Order: sequence, then C-alpha cells, then structure tokens
Amino acid sequence: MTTIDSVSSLSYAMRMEISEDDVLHVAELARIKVTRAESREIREQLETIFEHFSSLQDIDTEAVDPTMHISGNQIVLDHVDREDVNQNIRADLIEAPLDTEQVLQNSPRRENTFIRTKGVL
Amino acid sequence: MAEMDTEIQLGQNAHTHADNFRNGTYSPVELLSKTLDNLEKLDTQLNAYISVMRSEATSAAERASSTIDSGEATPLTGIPIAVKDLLNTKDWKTTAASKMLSTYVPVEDSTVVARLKAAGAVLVGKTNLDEFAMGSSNEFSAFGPVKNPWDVSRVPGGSSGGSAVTVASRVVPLSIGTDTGGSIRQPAAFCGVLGLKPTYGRVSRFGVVAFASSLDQVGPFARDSYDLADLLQVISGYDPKDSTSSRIPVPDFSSQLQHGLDGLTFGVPSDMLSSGVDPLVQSAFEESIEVLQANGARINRDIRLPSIEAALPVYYLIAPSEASANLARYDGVKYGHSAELGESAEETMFNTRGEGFGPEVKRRILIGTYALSAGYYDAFYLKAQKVRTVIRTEYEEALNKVDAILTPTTPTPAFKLGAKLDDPLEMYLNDLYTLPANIAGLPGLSIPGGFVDGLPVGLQIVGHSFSEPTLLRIANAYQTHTDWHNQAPDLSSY
Repeated sequence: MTTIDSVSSLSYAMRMEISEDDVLHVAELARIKVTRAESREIREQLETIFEHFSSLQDIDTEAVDPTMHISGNQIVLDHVDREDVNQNIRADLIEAPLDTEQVLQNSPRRENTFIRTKGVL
Repeated sequence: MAEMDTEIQLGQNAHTHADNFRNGTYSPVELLSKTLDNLEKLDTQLNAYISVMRSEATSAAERASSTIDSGEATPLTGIPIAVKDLLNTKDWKTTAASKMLSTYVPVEDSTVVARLKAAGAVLVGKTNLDEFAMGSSNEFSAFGPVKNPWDVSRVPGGSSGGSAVTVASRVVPLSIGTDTGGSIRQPAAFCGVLGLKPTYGRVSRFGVVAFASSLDQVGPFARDSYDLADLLQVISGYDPKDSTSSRIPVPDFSSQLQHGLDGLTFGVPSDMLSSGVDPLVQSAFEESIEVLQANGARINRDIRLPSIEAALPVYYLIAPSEASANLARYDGVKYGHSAELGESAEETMFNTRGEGFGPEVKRRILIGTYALSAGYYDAFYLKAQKVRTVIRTEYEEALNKVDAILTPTTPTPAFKLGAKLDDPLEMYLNDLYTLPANIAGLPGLSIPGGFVDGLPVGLQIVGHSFSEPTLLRIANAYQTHTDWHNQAPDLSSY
C-alpha cells in the first residue's frame, strides 16, 4: 500500500502511459480547448496520478458490488418501511414555474425571449 | 464596569450575542455595523470574501432587531453569518470562485440559505473558495487565494477556506461550507475552528453548485459546540427539492451536549496512523486522546481499517468522474461565461470551457473523462466504486465496536502558499484522513485539537450515520477540558 511519504517509491500494479494525443482526445471528449503547452503539463500530471490510482488493482474486489450512491433514501431503507421511502419522491403537484425573464436573465446572448447561438444542426 | 458591558465583543460566540440581544445590551444593527467594518479591514489581508452584502445585511439586521423586540427570536436571529459562494443566493451573485460563473445571479435561494434567512440570521457575505470547491488550499480561486489568519504566508485549507477563516479571525461566529472530501474539516483544522460534515442526506443540497453529487454535503463552521448545534439545527432536514435528503427525523442537536464521555468508546485506527503523519501532529493527537480518556472515555486501539489508503484513489476517481458529468452543463449558452461566437456552436463551447475553467477544474474534468472513457471504465471508475464498498464495509465493521473513530484531521498543519501548487498528487495526499467519511457517507467533525509550531491542528471524530448528537457531545466534553478553541490569531497589526 502507498503511504504519504512514499509516493515516489510506489510499486505500481500497472504502468500507465498517457500520451499528449490521449490528453487532446480526452479534452475533445470533455469539450475543453487545451493548448499544446497545457497538454504537455497535463500529460505528465495525469500519468503520475493514474499510476498512483492503479494501486487499487491490489485490492481484491472479486465478490464485491460497486457502491453507486450513498443515498439518504438507502440509509432510510434500513430504518423505515418501504412505503415511507416512496414518499421521498416529491408530490406530483403543479407549481408556478419561473417566469421567462427569470429563466433568461443569466443568458449571455439574448434576443427578446430567445437565446442566440451558432447553428447546431 | 458597566461601560465594559455595553462594549460589543466581536469574538463572542453566537449564543452570547443572542443573550446580549435579548438583554438589550446591543442590537443586531449595532453588531452588524461593527462586524462589517472589521470584515472590510481584515479582508484586505485575508481575502476571505468574494462579495459583501452590506445593504442586504443591514435590512436583515433591522428586521432581526424588531423580531427580538417582539420576543420571537430564534438562536440565530440577528447573528451575522457568512456563506460559501457555492450556495445560491437569490438576486445576489454566486460565483463558485470561477470565471465561468463570475456574473451569475441565481433566481432562487438554495434551501440552506432560505432556512438561514427564515431563522433570522444576517448574511454578511459570500466566502471565497477553491473554484467549484475543487482544492485543498484555497489557492485555486479565480478571486485570489485566501490567507491563513495564524500565518498569512500559509494556506487556510480548502475548499471552504473563506468560511473557516472568517470564523477563525472572529469576524463572524458562524459560517456555512461544503465538504466533498474534507472541504469543511480540513480548513477548520488549519484555522482552529469547528467544522462538521453531516451525514450524507442530513442537509439539503438544493441550490448548491454541484461538484460530486454522491459525496457533496453542506455543513456548519463555529467556534464552540453550542453554536455548531444551533446552526446544524436550522439547516438540517428533509427537502422535497433534494431527493437525496433524508426523511429521518431531525433530533434536538443540543440535547446531549452535556452528557459527558462516560460510557463512550472511541476507536483509534493504528494502521491508519502508522506512517505519514507529522510526529508533532501525532503527539498533539495522543494528548487529545489522553484528555478524553481522563474524562471517562474508553479507547480501543484494535480497530482495523486496512484499505484506508485506497481512499485517495477511490475519491480522486469517483469525484472527478462525477464532476466531469456535473460540469458538462457549462456550455456558455444558458448562463455563465461565454466565449466570443466562433465558427460553430461547438467551437464556441470549446473556447468557453477553455477560458472559463481554471487549471484544477480542467485537470479534474480531464481525470474524470479519462476514467470514464472506453477501455478504462472497468479498470478505474468501476474498480473505485467496488473499493468504495470495501471501505464502507470496513468502517461499518469498525463502528460496530466503537461509538466513534478518532484521527488527526490532517497529517500536517497548514502548509505554505504555493508549496503544493505544482504537484497535484501531493496536494491530494493532504486529504487522506478526511476522504473516507465522504466515501462512506458518514458524519465527520473536526475540532481544535492543539497547536504545532503556533499553528492549529484538528481532532477528527467520525461517527455512525446520523450520529451528529454524539459527535457534538464529544466535542462539548473535549472543549470543557481544553482551551484550544478559545485561542484567537493575533490580527491587531491589520
């Protein structure tokens, strides 16, 4: 296992190799413009970070289910009847929505009651 | 000394102010005026605030004064409070310390802010933080770093750095932060105040800018356990607008404060402390254990959390993965920063996100996107969720034997500004002791636990789900027998 003062002496379960092209590809997926200079620095950092992360492979999880979410409702399940839990879904009532002006007030580009963008199709 | 009695002491706790309001010693308006002057004077050095709500606060203090006159005050009526600038405030800029949201004005209050207002608290301003709450030093703010009031060449911790600093520097007695991996407890430890991350689901997250939704929780800062209990009381409880908020009834958080330590057993996970802790932090921690033991607590050093060091990779895979999804909403169309229109909608979006996000936010979005991308999902994201189960189970088993688990809050005291800025992994390692409570959804409280070289260190108490009354009881007992929480940084030169 890793410790705080032995980051550099990790025995990696998996050697990670991340290329600058990988970084640019991931940035493309994340819709973030990254310059070549940024991608060089990020590449190095991601490689170090993911090498550290690969220590997870040492832990046996053969018979373990993933925890997707620690829901307040799941915690309730242990304590209260299921029927009560279903009430955690809020009542299906019609409420006053935000008015148009409120919805649009933070939009960077408005024309009347529309938001202006470049063509998306 | 009648003259002294009328003097407003800004360093007083909220319950003392409330007594003084009730006795007519001074009014919320008078307290606020002095608070705002002090805030503005200190903030030129500390940079704890992104915005100050001078006129809104004055109106709220005037309303509070008449509420008190009519005898209908709550414990928070008229009390100045600061809120992390990650929580929406209606008609008042909420920036998440990001260029992306630097002009964003919410149309609704977050539930926590609405509850504070309803209780009569006086919001004085929005506190500085690491951008989108991603950071452990408060250096990743688009509005500049926050300084530690104990030593302005050091970080206050993060991401809720401003909220910790403003309470530590005695500007306000109370504040609100959020904690995804330690963002309340770690700055509380670095600044010498109390900070609580409640059980996941205890406090509504509605209207809080999302970072990692399975880990995020809102919580209080204060300087003593009574104030912390009063503030937690106001913000806790089910909210129809947040389906992850719990329907478990909210207990009276003050009811057990004075029950003492008799009958309580605390676990000290020796394997967790075997390496990496600053020896001086370790001895401060052992002294705290002795105080608790001397006052009736039993200590069990045989509990085991063998997978604890995996908390770091688990957290830094799950949180960025969730963040990469949550932050996909910032497209420069509906709200927030927008780049100049490019050739296409897509180009505008790339530029918007390239310009609007700072370096740490970009890094985390890229980590998350990478961990979720084809070919790596099973090895990283799914694996992290499975190890999350392992860590949760180990905590459940340990907590079957004890009432709470004690550790130092952080492995070291506050570090120098810039010391870890260029080494993300070093920065992440600083969170090792605080991450597991978020991973397991458990409540965690950091209380002032001594000093190392003139810098405060924290004692962390992690308990069973929804055991906040027990955590507050432990804190109160500890504070009865120690004086760390009453020590204030010397700010007289500012």
